[in-house]
Amino acid sequence: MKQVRRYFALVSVVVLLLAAAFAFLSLQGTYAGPPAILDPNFNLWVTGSNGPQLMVWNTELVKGMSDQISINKTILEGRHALELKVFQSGVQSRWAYASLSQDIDGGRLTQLLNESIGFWILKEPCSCDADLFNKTSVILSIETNDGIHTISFVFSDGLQGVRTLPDHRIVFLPTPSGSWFFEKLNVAKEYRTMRWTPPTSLTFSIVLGVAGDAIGWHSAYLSGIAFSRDGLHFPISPQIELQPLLTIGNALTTWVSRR
Amino acid sequence: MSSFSRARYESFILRLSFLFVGQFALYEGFQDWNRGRADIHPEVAVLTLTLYAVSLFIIALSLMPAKTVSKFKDFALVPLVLSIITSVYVVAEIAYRGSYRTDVLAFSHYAAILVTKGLNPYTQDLTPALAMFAVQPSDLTPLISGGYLATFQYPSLHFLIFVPFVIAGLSDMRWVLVAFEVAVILLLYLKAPVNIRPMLILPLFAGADLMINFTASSVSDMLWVLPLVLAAFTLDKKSITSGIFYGIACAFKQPPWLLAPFVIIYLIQTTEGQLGVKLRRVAWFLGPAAAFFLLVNLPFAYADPVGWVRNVITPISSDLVILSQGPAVLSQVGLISVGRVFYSILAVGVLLVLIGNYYVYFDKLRYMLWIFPGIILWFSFRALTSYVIYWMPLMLVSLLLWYKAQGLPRASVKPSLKSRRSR
Repeated sequence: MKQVRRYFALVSVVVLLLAAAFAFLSLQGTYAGPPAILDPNFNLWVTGSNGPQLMVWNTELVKGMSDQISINKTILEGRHALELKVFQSGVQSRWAYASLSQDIDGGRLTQLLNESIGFWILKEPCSCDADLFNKTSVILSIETNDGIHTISFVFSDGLQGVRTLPDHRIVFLPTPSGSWFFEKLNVAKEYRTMRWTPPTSLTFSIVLGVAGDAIGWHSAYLSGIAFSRDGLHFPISPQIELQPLLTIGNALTTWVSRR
Repeated sequence: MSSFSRARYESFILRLSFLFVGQFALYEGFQDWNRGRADIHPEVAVLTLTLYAVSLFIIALSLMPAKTVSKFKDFALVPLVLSIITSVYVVAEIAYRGSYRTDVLAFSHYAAILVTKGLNPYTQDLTPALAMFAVQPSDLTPLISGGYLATFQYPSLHFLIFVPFVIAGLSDMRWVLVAFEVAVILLLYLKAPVNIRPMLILPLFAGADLMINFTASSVSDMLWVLPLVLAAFTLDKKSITSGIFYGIACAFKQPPWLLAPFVIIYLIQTTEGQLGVKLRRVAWFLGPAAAFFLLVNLPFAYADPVGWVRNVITPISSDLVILSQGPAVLSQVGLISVGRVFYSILAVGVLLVLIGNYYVYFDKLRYMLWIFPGIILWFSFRALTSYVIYWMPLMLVSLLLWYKAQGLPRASVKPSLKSRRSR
């Protein structure tokens, strides 16, 4: 017993350290944090003063006195979906918007810049967004804004390619109307193309905008946001710049494999 | 040490404690004056005035003649308890406007409401609680999937305790937590020998988090601390009573579960006789503990066994994100890229090492068992300060038991009894 007492503490700690080191090396790359976009399936609804509302998404409604906007959860063609509906009255002929947004920074921003984001979308069956700037447009878009630069990803029936304005890039994503369609976009790729400085924070928004003369009800549906690491990542995101100094685990793994 | 120098030393410690208490209460009074918006909440002005007055009194008291100091020796409790009540009121009801700052308390309060309506909280969607108690998105428990925890993840006593208060119409369950807190303070105070009061309870107030900020922010751990303190005090001599209190603590929340192997070792090592005798004492402890735990949980577990088990093991089984003030913070901020499994292995490894060492070096580590769960949880992938800090009252119990076991002269341990007899 005396011998056991003499060595037990040391041996137990050494065994723990060895087991921890083995686990550490074996489990490299297994970290998973929260996704860049929280509540990506639009599941968390609470009852607000105006009925159900999404809890972690910020809601912004811009409309005239006679316009109406509603944001609801629904089931469409068997899919749980977020429904954005805008009624354009045509009074004063001004745009009406429904927007859901999240502010993203830190680890979630790094993740956003390392992934492509996919959306299941169902637009109303019309080609009314053929011209982005006419007075009957209905635009469903994803927008990122870092305080200086804005990128608008517009889900369009008729347009494709990009338009570039000072500090604003518009990317048209060909998206057929009237049925569910999966569309992917990559924020980092656009920053790289524009040679803009990587953002330290940004606002990520889903926007349904209806021009002043597009009178009547307009709607769009989103069913979940998916994330994929498909190699289109930004080459020097803020976190990646630090990594050569900081990924102790990778360095250890390399050292061990060299041995 | 002669009785004269001991009396001088104890008087000095008492005076020092008065200064600490006065300074702490002054600090809280100032904080409450700052955050309490007395211009629109006049009651805050009255509360802070009172707090300042008792603080100044006890500070002045610290340098008064020995007879006066001795006469007011229990007065230290007044500024401390008043600080708790005033600060929790100001933070919870004014700064947070009555909203809960954890999903845990919102879900527990809502679950208690559901019970009064005859519903089983383990099978219900608890998200209505978030709007009902104005929980902020930043106070939710995020999952790796991007969703949030919306189910009840604790044993049933965690909401059953609130049922009588829901029926009585209490709208903010933080006051139940405050009552538990005050009970813990009083219990420690009363159990402490007169000569180390109020010194013994001062570590609880080394910083405002444990006794004020966490409770005001709706952290509910004080619920299991009180029965565990009672379990600790009765562990040596009343195994059955201690077991019942331990069962109550385990029926509130999961952290006390981690104590089980250490308590078993404690009981085995402190029982003289054959193995059968030792095991019988363990059974006298674990039996009542398990019985009480089952008593309060069985109705819910029986109604929906899968739902109950799934919810209660949520902290282990669900995809909670890494959130840590322990080693896992290195993954959380991206310095290393190992995930939850690594930290779970680490925590289990630390648990095993502690069990082994506690058994082998019991003579040296005997009183340390209460901090072991805090150490283990610090290595896990969710290691919040509240998982560690709430073991402090238990450490004080251990310190007290150690102090008594050191065999100090009876006169200094129980002077009150002696003086009563002499009368």
